[in-house]
Amino acid sequence: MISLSAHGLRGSPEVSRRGFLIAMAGAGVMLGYTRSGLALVSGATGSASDLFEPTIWYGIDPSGTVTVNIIRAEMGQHVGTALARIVADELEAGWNTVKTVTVDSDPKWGLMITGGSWSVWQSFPLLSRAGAAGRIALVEEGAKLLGVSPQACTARNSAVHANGKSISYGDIVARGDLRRTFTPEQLQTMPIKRPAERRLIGKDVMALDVPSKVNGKARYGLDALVDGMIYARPLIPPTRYGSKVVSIDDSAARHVDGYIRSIALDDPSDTAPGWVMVYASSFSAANRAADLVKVKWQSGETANVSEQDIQQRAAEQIADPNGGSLFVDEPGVDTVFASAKRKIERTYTTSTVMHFALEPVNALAFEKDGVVEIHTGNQWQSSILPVLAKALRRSQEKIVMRSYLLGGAFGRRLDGDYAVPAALASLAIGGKPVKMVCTRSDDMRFDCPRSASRQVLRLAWGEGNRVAAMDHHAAAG
Amino acid sequence: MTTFSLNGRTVSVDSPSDAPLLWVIRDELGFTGTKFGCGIGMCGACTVHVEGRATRSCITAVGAVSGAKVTTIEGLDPEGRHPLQMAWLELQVPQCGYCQSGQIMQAATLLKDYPDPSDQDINAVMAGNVCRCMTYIRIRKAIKLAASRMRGATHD
Repeated sequence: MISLSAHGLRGSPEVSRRGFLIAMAGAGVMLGYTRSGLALVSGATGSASDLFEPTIWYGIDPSGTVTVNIIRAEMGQHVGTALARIVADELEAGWNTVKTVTVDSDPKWGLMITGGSWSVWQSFPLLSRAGAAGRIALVEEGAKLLGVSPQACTARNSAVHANGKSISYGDIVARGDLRRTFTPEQLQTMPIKRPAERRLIGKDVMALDVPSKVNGKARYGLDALVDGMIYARPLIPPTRYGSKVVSIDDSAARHVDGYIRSIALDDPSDTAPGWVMVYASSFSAANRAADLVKVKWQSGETANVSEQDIQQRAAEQIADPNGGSLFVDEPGVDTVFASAKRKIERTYTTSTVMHFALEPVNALAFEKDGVVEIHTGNQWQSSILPVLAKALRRSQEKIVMRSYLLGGAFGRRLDGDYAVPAALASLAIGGKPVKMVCTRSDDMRFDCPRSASRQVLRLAWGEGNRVAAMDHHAAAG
Repeated sequence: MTTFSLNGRTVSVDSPSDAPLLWVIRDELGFTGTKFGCGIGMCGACTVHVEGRATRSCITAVGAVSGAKVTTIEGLDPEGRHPLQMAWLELQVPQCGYCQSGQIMQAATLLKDYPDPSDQDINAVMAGNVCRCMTYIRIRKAIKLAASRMRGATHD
């Protein structure tokens, strides 16, 4: 299991000292925060390509469609809908004009992680101001086109209205000139709606991801597809770490129609040590062949550790007076326990818990023009990209992850470890597209489970039947 | 070569006759709405209809459906507006959504057998369709909503 706080990820990001840019891009308009300082460059009204290398949060096209870029993973929490509504509410966009796009792992998006229940509250300051900035620009330009003062205008339902006249956002984008910038100071003081004025946030709405989930059109990692793709099923070693492939005997698998070959992966990142990939032209052939490939491993040292062994080890550690570290160390506790007339001791245990997302982990990978593309559903691209760089012996700029819906995550997909063997499997055969699919049993063996734990709690009562001492030991892992 | 009907069209595939129908539908024929969850018929994500009956495609050999009518979530209704799909939308049943094709296909069979299903009927028939997001409460509501509308339509 991954501890988010251990990675320094607690705490709220700020709107920061970033400016905001609005520029024409193609036929539409793009709105986004600038990299530090860029907004303050005078006359920053050049072409969109000059302006919009920085983070782009949303765009509006001449038909009035608002496309909000979503950097968070969709895993059943309808996060795209929640984030798009923050923008749309301040923008005064009609909800039926809003769509979302899930982005790739380009560094311009900043820290990409979906977890910790952070997405909405951390994004709110950023996205609400982005929406408000867009509304202000549209009102000013709409006023010009209507021949009225901005003060006379109201923005509502994707249009600017004044004195009985109105112009749609689409028409403003098509006919107007929306180029402008906001300074960090203007952004900080951007008037954000009071909760009572919100028209979308907090109201019932059809989540944008729901319709495709009832007609079979939703695309998960397992559904990723590129031309010429072959399939691979891994053979996972006896231990997560420390196992080595001694030999591979695929003589029986060679009779399977569609079987291609089996390769032991070389993983410099040590994410998938001792993995063997079984390639075939279809997943059912890969699956069948994998059952016939005999791999001899030199097992890692934990090969025979059982759940009971982990509990036993925890009990031993707790019993050892010299082990562990103390969070609280009150002198005299042992003395109180030695003399107390009334004491209680209880042991609490938890078992190893698997994630069991219904979609077994999988990834499609291939190399194209020197860049390794990985198509998969993942919660924490920023964490796995450096690992991928090490595994694939290339810089992060030469790796891109493309996002798909997650068939359940529950924290399992915070760890993008499954992207590593898939990418290695592709590079091992010259960068051809390979879709690695774990079976259910593979997925379970390759989980990053919540580890077993054991806690012993002791209490001693003293005079007046008051608790006089408490002793609490915990061991996990 | 196996020939069968998929969503109303005749299809022929070269896959070995013992290849699981699930992977033939997904990888050979491109209908990816049907999902892979367990591979042993225990989770229901791969549920399709064979001759109108809910069938676990991950443990059904493609050869076994030779000449049969197979329907996937994509073919349940030409417009994707089967009463169950409409009820699913209205109640926003899906969360991650991965199991939902299977849930809807199983529920469609349920309503043929039990036009006015009780909670017990729903529990009994739907028990083999696992939802890791725990959308069961909305699934039950949506089945009842669709059932009431389908009964109404029959009476009209």
